[in-house]
Formats: sequence, C-alpha cells, structure tokens
Amino acid sequence: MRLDASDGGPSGAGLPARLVWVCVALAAGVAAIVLGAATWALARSPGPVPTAVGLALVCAAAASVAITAGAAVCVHRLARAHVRTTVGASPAAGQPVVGQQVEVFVGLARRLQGLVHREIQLLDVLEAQVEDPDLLKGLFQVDHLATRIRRYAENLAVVGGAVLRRQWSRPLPLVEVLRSAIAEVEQYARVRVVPPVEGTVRGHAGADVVHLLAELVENATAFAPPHTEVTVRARRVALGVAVEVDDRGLGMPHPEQDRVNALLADPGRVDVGDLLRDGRIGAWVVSALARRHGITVKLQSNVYGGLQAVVILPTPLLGDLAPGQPPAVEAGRMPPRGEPTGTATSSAPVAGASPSPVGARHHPPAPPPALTRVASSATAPALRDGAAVGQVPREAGPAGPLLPRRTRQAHLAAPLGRSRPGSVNQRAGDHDPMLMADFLRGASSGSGEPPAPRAVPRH
Amino acid sequence: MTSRSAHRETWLDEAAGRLVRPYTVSAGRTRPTTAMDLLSWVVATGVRPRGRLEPDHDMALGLCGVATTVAEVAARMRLPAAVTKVVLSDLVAVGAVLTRPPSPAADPTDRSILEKLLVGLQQRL
Repeated sequence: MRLDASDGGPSGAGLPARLVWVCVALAAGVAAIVLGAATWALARSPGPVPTAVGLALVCAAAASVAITAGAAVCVHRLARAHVRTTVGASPAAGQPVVGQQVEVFVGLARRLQGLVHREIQLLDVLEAQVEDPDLLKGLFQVDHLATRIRRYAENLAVVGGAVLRRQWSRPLPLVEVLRSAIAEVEQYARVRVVPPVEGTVRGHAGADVVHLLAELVENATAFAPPHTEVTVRARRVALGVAVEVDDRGLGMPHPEQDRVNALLADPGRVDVGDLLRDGRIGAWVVSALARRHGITVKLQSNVYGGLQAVVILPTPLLGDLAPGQPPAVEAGRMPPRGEPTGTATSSAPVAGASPSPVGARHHPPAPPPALTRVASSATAPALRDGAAVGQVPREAGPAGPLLPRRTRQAHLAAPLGRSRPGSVNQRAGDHDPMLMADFLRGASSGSGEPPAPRAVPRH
Repeated sequence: MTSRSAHRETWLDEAAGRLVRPYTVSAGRTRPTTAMDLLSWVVATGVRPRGRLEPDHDMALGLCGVATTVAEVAARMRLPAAVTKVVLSDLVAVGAVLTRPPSPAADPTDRSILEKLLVGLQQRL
C-alpha cells in the first residue's frame, strides 16, 4: 500500500540505507532552518532576550540533529532485526540475539523520547516568549519537526514493545487527539477536522491512537494532490467511535486495497521483508498500534474517487467525560493517580545484559496457519486479542496499563444504557444523525416493515 | 552517563506536555491579519459566524463575551500571544469580534508596562 512515503528499493538493504540518508537530510534541514533563524535574530536585535532566544535555538537545532540521526540509525537496525526474525532462514537459532537487539533498540528509543521531550518543553518556553512573527514561524518549523521526530521515536518504542512514556490519567477529548495527530503530519495545514467531534479516548491509549491516526493522515496527504484537503470526521457507531480520514487522491486499486486490509487485519500473515522492500513500514506500524488496542482499521474507496481510512475505536478505549468539563490543557492539573510503574516494565537493560525472559516474550514462535483469520467481522478485535501472532507483544509489560478484559457483546450494554453522548450539548437546530436514525427506525417499525438493524444486546 | 531510571520515567498528565501544539491552532500562521497588541481590547459583537468554529476560536469567542485584552485571552487559553492574535484576528475578519486600540491610560509605547505584562504572562503560562 501507499502507507509511508519512502520509496521502495530493489533490495532489502537499500531501503534502510536510504532511510538513514533521508533522516540525515532532515537533520541538515533542521540545522539550516534553526541556525538561520538564530543568526537572523542575533543580527537583528542585540538585546538580552533575543540573544538568549538565539542561543536556545542553537541548542534546539543541535538536539534536533542528534535526535534525528539517532532515530535514523535506530529505525535502520530495528527494521533489519525484524526482517531477520521473520524472513531469516533459521529464526529459531537467531531469536535470542535478535531479541536482545530489539531490547537495545527499545532502550535507545526511550532515550530519544527523553531528548525530544525536553526539546519540546524548551520550545514551549520559547514560543511563549517570542512575539516576532518571523522568529515564531521559525520556531514553529522546529516545533513541527520535533513533534514528528517524537512520533517516530514513540512508534519505534511501541513496535519494540515498550510502554509509552507520555501518559494521561484522564480521558482525552477526541477532538484534541485528532488535532494532535494532525500536528504530527508534514502537511498539517491541508487537514481539516469536520466538527462536531465528541467523545473521549482513555488516557493510556492516547499517544498510540494519535500516532495511528497520524500515519493514516500522513498517507492521505502524501498521495492526494497538494491543493486538495484531507478531511477527518468522527462519529458514534455501535462498536465505539469511527474516525474517517478521506482524501481526494487517485485512490487505490481494489486488489491492492485487499492486500493492505489483510495486513491491517492481521500483520502476522504478511512478510515484513516484502513490506520493507516496498517501503510500507507505515502500514505495519498502523497494524501494530491497532492490534495493541483492539482497533479496527480498514481502507476503502470514497465518493471522491480517493481513499477513505476508517478507524473503529472500540468502546473500551473510550472514556467518559461529562459535558462542560475543561479541555485537556486545563484539566491537566488534576493530581496523578495510579501512576503507572513504568520502571518495572519491559524496556530493559540497555546493553550488555544477559538474555532475559522479557526478550524472549517479544518473539513468539511463528503462528500456526489456523490462527490467521480474516478479521472483518464485528468480533475482529476479539479475534486479534486471542491470536498470538506477529512480533509485537500485545501488552506492554506486567506493570503496563492493561486493557480491560472484554466479553463478547458485553461492551454494547454500557453505551446503550446511558444517555447518548451524541445528543448531549447539542444546540437546537443542529444536525443530529442519531436523531434522524431514531426517527427512521420509528417510522419503519410503525409502517410494519422490519426495523432497521440496530446493535442491541441479545438477551 | 545518565542514570538508567531517567530513561524509564514516565510523564503523566501535565508533565506529558500539551496535546495540541500551538502551531496547529493557527495552522502555522504567526502574523495576524488585524493589527493588535497585547493591551488591545477585544469584545464579541454578538454575531455568530456561520458553521461551527474551530475549538480554539470558539473558546476565544467565549472569552470575549465581556470586553477584555488580548493578553488576558492569551493567558486564559494558555497560548503564545502571537497565536492568540491570529485566532482573534480570524474572529475579527468574520465580524464576530471587534478590536479597539488600548485605552489612553495604557500607553502601548510604554515599554515597562509591556514588560511587566510579559512577566505576568510567563508566570501564568
């Protein structure tokens, strides 16, 4: 599929090498932008504040370069390690070594996360101080690059099975999650969130959902004409919330769609080596993130002739947020509760450690063919939860934030039992799709026709 | 070398940083279309623009219900002043907000007042 813009190479070794060069070029770009901005600031106004800002910019540039280069090397090695695990001639013999390597890469990814987190904190301080539009524009470009680097560093850690370092103890408004995902995309200005977006995402999954959506939105912007916009919508469905990412590009042939959907539903069936050669790392990352949280992702053609990515965030992933509660930025001051004990989790002795059971956990034996089922029905997440396929562990670690255990159909009772969030806080005269659905259902039942299908718990 | 625990700590809630980066709020724009400074007054005209507003525009419009200053809006929205000006100038452009130059008592050229305000803003942000 088209996910991930990197070009495919004739051989497996070509792609990672090219990836490294892309990252090095990116680093050079960051350096050029920031150094230019800093020099300009220093030359323009010799006062004490601009000087400090300039120096800080230089520091930020240095951090960006270091982080990008480090990330490039990390991605390169992790990708090779995964190729070896899945397509190697004797995976059983090579596994302990590869397991250790993955642990090392995850450890490096965590360091990258630490650095980029500090960089973004620094940028927050600078952005609050700078009023000059030109200087701020430069800062925003650095901020944007840093945010994208953070996305890849966090993806790298997640793919390696680590627990997320950014966590929230409260549900995050879905609209903030969508906007955060858009912020991680190169051409973010072309993406529009179509209101209304209601509902929340549970805090433990926030960053993963953001990155998953960012991959899909990035793909949509990369393969649609530059003057077209990409729209993101969210709506309540029986299984949870559906997020739809629509582009106005040329779409994708059906056989190709089927192949990508098969990968998204069950990455265990797909050869990672082929993916790397074709430059489809993005699809694999989406698949890994989706499986981690029981999210269903599917691509289909849309009415514009382009591609629509549908993401179903299942009900257990959605949080409750009373209407009128302050948004995420304001609510961030609540006292932490249930602090995740990330220190006890998988991410491991970084170097020189003996092979650990944690490392072995990352590489279950190849799945039997019976487990590779098409996950297109409503029970798809449950099937995936049960299938121990692929290279990514389902859970972050013994002390990581655990997903709630689900029982078949039981999750439908909760949303149906309480008042429908879609109709709360709705202004009179606004379009309410749920109201229309209720009306149609009532009309059809009154006219003696069989009622429209509706997801209700079976008793 | 940094201690190992430093690479394992998690950042919870406030420590995790803001979810929506400021450049997203203004779609990367940093130059407002309407001239205003920190002490300019802004007040909602009561005109509600067609369609739904972006969340930040909605919030800014709500804060302008009573006459207030750009600096106050920026502090309450916890956004950089430049970004707040862009958001407010969008609202001015659609007729939802009126802006007035600072009252004569607060001379905009008075650097000390601006600096005090900046310090105050930084403390709040």
